Amino acid sequence: MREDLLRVVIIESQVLFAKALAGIFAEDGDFAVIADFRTPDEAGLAAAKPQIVVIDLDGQPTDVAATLGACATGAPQARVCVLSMHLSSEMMQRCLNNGAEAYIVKDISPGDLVRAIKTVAGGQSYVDPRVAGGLLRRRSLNAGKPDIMELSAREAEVLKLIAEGLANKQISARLHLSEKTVKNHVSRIFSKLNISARTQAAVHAIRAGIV
Amino acid sequence: MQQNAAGPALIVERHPFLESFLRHELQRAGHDVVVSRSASAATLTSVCPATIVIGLSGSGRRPLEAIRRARRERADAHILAIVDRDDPAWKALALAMGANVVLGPADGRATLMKAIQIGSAPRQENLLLRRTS
Repeated sequence: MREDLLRVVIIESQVLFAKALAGIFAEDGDFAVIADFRTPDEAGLAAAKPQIVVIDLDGQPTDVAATLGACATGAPQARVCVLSMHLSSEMMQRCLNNGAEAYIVKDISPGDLVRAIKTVAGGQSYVDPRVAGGLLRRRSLNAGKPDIMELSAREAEVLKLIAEGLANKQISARLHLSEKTVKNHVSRIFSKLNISARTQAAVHAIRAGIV
Repeated sequence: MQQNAAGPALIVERHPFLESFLRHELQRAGHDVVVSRSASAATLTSVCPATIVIGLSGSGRRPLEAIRRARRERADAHILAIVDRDDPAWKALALAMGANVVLGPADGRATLMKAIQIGSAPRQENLLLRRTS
């Protein structure tokens, strides 16, 4: 295999989609598809040592945080490009918060897909321009106020439980996490929302409609 | 223009990279391929496809309606549905709506090719019968 080829792993629950993606990369000539998995296989990713992971989130059995977390554990060196059918700035934000470098909506043309992946391989990020527009509009409407969508899925979960009045110890039992991990989540939530008290966190959660 | 032996095939698929793959595979099987974003009555009438490949994604009954419409307009067509979930009930619905073959997420290229060939075979046989009668 040529050493200058970009080592890609495809994670795709639909086998035909995986074959289609592999075909597009093969046709371009700058990629080597090292492996494809139907779900993030941490051991397989570790063995493949990809530079790029292309993962289709649709059809994955776990939530965004768990799915992208498994990619990061298996291939910490790789840049992760998410494919999704959702033209949603919330979903995009969630993916970026959980380590993705690209958010690509699946109605993209093969040529644009290749260009997007090369952009990411070159060290930049890529998001579908239609979704990025939605995010910018929302940020503009928020006028610089902290945005609850900047929280990761796990942080949002912790925030919901704070708003329900649970103490850290109860949250740790509910989510099967150590109390220290919960404390870390709470600190990050406070920092991202620019607040200093649990009651303020609850207010944010209620305003955002997550409780 | 010389027509391919397997006859026209219509692809109804909204993901361009899967559509490109399907087009390539159908052309390899000898089909003239037309791609459309919807299985509208006008498209079905103008293309007269012998084989129709419909990608079903999303929820609700709307994706399944495309199969029903295709079957209504093209009673003798070979309809191949590609579904994005491992759900026997969803596959059964696709068959009930008129699909001849339903491919699930675990089905790969070999199964796709077999499904395409199954669709082509009876028509070739019918053509031979007509020529000899």
